[in-house]
Amino acid sequence: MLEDRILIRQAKRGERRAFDRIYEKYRDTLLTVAMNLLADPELARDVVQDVFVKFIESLDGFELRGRLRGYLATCVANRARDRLRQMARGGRVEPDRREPLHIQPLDLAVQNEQLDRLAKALAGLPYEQREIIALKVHGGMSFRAIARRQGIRLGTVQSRYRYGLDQLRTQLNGKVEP
Amino acid sequence: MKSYKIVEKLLSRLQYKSGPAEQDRMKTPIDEAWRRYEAERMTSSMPRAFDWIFGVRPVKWIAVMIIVLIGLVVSIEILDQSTGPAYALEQTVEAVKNIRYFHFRNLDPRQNVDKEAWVEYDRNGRLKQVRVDFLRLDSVMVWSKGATQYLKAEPNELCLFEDMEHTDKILSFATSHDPRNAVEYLRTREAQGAVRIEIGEPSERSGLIPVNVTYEPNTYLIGAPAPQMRDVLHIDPVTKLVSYINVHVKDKDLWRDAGVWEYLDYNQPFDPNIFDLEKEMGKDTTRFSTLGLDLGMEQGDMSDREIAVKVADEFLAAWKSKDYDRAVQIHGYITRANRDNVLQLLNTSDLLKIVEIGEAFPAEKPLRGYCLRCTLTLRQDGTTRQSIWEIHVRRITPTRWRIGKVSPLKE
Repeated sequence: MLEDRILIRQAKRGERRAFDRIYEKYRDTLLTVAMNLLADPELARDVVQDVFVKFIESLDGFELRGRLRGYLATCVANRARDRLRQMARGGRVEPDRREPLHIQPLDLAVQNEQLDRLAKALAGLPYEQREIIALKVHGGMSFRAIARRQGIRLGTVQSRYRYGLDQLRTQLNGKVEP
Repeated sequence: MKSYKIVEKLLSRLQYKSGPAEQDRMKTPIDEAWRRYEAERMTSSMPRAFDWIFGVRPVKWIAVMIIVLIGLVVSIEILDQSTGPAYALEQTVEAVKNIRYFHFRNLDPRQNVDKEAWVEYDRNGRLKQVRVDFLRLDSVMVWSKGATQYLKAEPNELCLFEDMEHTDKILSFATSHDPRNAVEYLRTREAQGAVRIEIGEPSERSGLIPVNVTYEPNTYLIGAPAPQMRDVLHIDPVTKLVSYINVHVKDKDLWRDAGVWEYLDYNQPFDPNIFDLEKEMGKDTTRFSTLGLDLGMEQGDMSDREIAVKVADEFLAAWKSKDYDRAVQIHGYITRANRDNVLQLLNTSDLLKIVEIGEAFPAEKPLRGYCLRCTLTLRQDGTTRQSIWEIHVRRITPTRWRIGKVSPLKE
């Protein structure tokens, strides 16, 4: 966390190396959040790219409150939601509900059948539940931080998470192995 | 409940990684955004009057002409200076004389300890405050007003303490990289034949003047043990200040890259807040201060050797009588973890008998102070045995001493 504050200060001074370190540190985490929300590699890449571009554009007045990873993950979630809304208005449906997952060329870091089934099950969850799961598990955020950032009640965050996990467990049909 | 944990664990493994091709594709708009950001930073640093002049059409061309003329005059001035006398190291010695603030960074590919530091001197040239950011270790150390502040991420803690050994280390770090001492030191060592200085031609691209300094073994900077080293100082031709230094180390007849020292700012006053880490504490950061706790023992009229024996003696007596508060207070500590480790040692071992406290002898470098070998009878894990322990005692303030380390000697 401290390293992030230092990197942000250096990036604000125009040090490209510091920004690159932030980018390399969080790129794949944010892609994971985006993929778990959008289940579409093209869209996921676009969203993460947009978030980094916006981050650079707002760097001058940027003040870090909390963790950078959580902040960027929330930006990805908000941007992903905007994209889905735009697509719904434009007549396209959410990709996750109808289409199979295309995880090439964005690969799962660890590939196995169980994870593949989990990715599909996650894509089948309502967006609100997926968002809380992605922010909690991959964004590393606490329930309280998610509630604060997303402007929803703590109880709602916790119940969405719980319902999401319930459904995943059911969909995996008890075939989960540690 | 267990199955939730399993699903969570599985979810945490559901991670995606990008390949080189995707990374390249993503990078292009990000690179463009960065270029725009850099350009805006440059523009916003220009005076507002400049924008105002160019915003008014009738005077636009007049303004352009004025600026071109000023540019010409400045160029002629610079050209004039650049054809002046050849560079000599004394010019840098002179240029750094009145420096009160310097800000530098050390990047070393061989180690995991990249550092960025801010050093401030008072009007009399004495060190006033220092801040060092350990870039990859998620920690920051500040020395100011005689006390040290140490903020680290793991555990998330701000420690405030007064300890001469740490103070000496941070002061030695600042002093050895103080450009004023560094350049003068070079001249002194050159006169002694320990270093060879060669001034090169200015670089065509950057205009910086390279100064190659080759050090014989064990002569590098503060004379600490070191192999043969070579620094290339890059001198700004106008200010004569060092811009950066490339460091090379001789390894099996080959010069290898040993990092770079970049001098980022000279004499730019720092924001005073950077020397107050309490202002950088996060919401979850805990504060752990030993300031004013009078840890260790007062030296009084005792010699260094006598106080070392006294500290060891009192510590062992407190341990034996299970007066753990006193034992920990004599032992001293800096972080919460230090204190807990001492308490754990005391709690897990019963000191039954102090058989002998040996004489104090000077500790081996890099330790300072004295060591004592003590024969103790202890009960640990239900077993009673006699063993020899080494107790290291060192100075903590000009008048107080504490224990540095207590450990059994390997048999």
